[in-house]
Amino acid sequence: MKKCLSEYMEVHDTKKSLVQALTPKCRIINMESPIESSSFQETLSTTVMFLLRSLEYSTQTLTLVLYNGKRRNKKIRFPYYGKEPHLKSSGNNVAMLVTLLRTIVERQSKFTTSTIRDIFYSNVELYQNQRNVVYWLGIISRNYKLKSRDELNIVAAQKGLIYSTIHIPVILNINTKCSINADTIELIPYINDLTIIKLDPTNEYNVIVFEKEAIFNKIVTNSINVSTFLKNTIFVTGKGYPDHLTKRFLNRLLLCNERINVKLYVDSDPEGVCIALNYINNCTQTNNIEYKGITLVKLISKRTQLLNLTHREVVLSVNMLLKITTNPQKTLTRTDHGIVTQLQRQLFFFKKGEMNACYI
Amino acid sequence: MSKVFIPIANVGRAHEADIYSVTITNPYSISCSGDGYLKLWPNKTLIQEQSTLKDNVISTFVHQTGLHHADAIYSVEPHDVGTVLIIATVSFSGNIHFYQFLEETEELKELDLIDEDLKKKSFWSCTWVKSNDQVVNHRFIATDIKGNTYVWRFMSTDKIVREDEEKAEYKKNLHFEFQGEIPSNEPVFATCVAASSSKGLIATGFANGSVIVSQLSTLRPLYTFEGLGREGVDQNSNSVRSVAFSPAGNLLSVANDSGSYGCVTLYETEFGERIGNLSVPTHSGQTNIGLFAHNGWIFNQAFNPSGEFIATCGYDGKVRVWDVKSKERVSTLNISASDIEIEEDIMLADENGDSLKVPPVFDVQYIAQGTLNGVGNETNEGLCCVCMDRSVRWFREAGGK
Repeated sequence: MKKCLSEYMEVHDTKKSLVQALTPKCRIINMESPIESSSFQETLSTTVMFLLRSLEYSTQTLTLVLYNGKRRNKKIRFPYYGKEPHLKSSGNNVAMLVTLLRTIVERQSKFTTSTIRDIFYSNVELYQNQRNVVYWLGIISRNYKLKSRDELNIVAAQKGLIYSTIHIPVILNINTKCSINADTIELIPYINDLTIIKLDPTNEYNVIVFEKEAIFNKIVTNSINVSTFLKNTIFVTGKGYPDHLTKRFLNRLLLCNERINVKLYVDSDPEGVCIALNYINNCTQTNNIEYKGITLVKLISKRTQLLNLTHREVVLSVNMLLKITTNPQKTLTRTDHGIVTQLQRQLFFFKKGEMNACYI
Repeated sequence: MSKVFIPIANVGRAHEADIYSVTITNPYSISCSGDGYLKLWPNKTLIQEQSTLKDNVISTFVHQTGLHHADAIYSVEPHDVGTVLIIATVSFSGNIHFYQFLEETEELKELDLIDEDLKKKSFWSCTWVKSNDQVVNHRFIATDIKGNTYVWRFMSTDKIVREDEEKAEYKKNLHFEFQGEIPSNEPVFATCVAASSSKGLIATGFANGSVIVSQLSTLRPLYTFEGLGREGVDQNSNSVRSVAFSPAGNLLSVANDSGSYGCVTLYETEFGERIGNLSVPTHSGQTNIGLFAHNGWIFNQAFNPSGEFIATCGYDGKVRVWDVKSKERVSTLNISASDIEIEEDIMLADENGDSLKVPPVFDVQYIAQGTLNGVGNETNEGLCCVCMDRSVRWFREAGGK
């Protein structure tokens, strides 16, 4: 039979000892991956098994300790008690973590891959929004010290599109191969940092990157087949700001092949320049990446309607200028000079324009 | 009656990036550019040593983000301070940088004139207001990207009054005293500012097409001019790019966009009434086509010292000189990139591949008689302009007076 408070007070005559006596026993589950572990999959399945058993059979409170990549580990107490606010988390968080871990174990065992969007829609009530799924996946991948979140077999949905005038073989690993077919619009394939994109080293290739999907579609769905007049050309669009996969694809393409020239076509506004910088900063190992505009001067010469910059865009432009020009570790390349000139002119003219005016 | 201007000097690739502004003082033509450099071109050696112009230039690096506005004050200050040349320039990062030119060493010394709390503002345009009255201080005016206008009084000395002495002593100390701010009602980019010392007025031009004229002494707004530019087209650009007061201050010239064209409207400053436009014939049967001064945006304008003429420059690669009284065009200078004397300095395209054969003219300034050396410059006025092909060009009015 449980004791009542007065009985406790009789035994414990100080406040400190009373608090200690009333504090429930807590089981600490360290989720962090030990260095000597044989593989991530093995560690994951073992910890998940222990976690589920503890939740099922243990009558004690649980404290989950997750390595967060920071000095302080992330701790979750379930159910919550005490006065430490950093341990406070809703039961929902534990449910999300456990469900995600179970899903990952399942995907790992079956060698299947899901998108973040699929996971979110598999239990909308639990996850509430897609950001929560991304957040917890980030914590899990950091906890197991994974190089990439994609190793969890849960990846972001593809966003970028590719159209190639040639067939491109893609070697994902020793066993898995895929390819990008010629003259078809395809989603950029799932690749990792070890993927090899094979192109004939004797030929020179042009990769044309468009900010806008509309321009990409306009060019590749031309009534005359693009490959009849453009040889060895690959068209890519990231549909605005590129996702990780599109950037990684371009990066792998440039690293696997020396004779590739990337040409970036973006809007003549600060956002466009920011998108171009996103691609450029992702491919720092090579100078074969060129900013081609569209420049404000070209839009002015076409007498298209230009809009005034907003206050937010002015601030964005100034910040980008500062970032490019005040980096002491980098000497400005020709592309950087072109971008600086473009940003300065946008600010001086106080105008912005869209590339659609020239290509559609 | 038409005027003829002849080119007397030019320098191609004067800067590594676009030159956005030029200002003329008696000893130097001062240019600032997107490469972050401020360059002082000596006026007295422009003609004799044209091939070595780049060797004679005094340059200083100011800011990595580049410079877009520059203005200078060249004045003889009382109380044994002597002649001072102070240059103010604004960088794309929004900071104002001040430099004093030291004649003995021919060096530029950086000055710290603005208070720390005001340094945090993102400034855009600036101008000096030179006072010809020794009792009235010179002023410095700057606008920021939120549309506010800031005014400072410039003082070259500190006044020291000792108890035992009747006369005050003056100690040289170049400094600013913040006069105040003309706040903007809404956050609109203040693109340009001008002031008239003789009439005591400030005009601030905005990107939304309005101009606010305020009193220099009280900083109280007097007039607002709105609805400049072509009407009836939604989102049609009507940004004001330049405002200029005539030397006597009785006229205000406003240059604004009208779509992709440039218009100049003249206002008299006493009652704020519009008195006309400067326009070229459009050769159209339609009546409401517009009164355009340039076939492109007008970036700047400058009155000549007597106020009889005004020079405008635009994206169409032209500098036009207008008779203010008759509002007629008296001269057009067509700029071409191939005009540059030294062939290797000709720039026909920029780093992005855009053609510069007919380079837009970003700034024009009148040069007073006697500023430049050489035959004819003692009696004739001149013009100086900077173009997108990174050139600086000097012209002189032809003929004798």
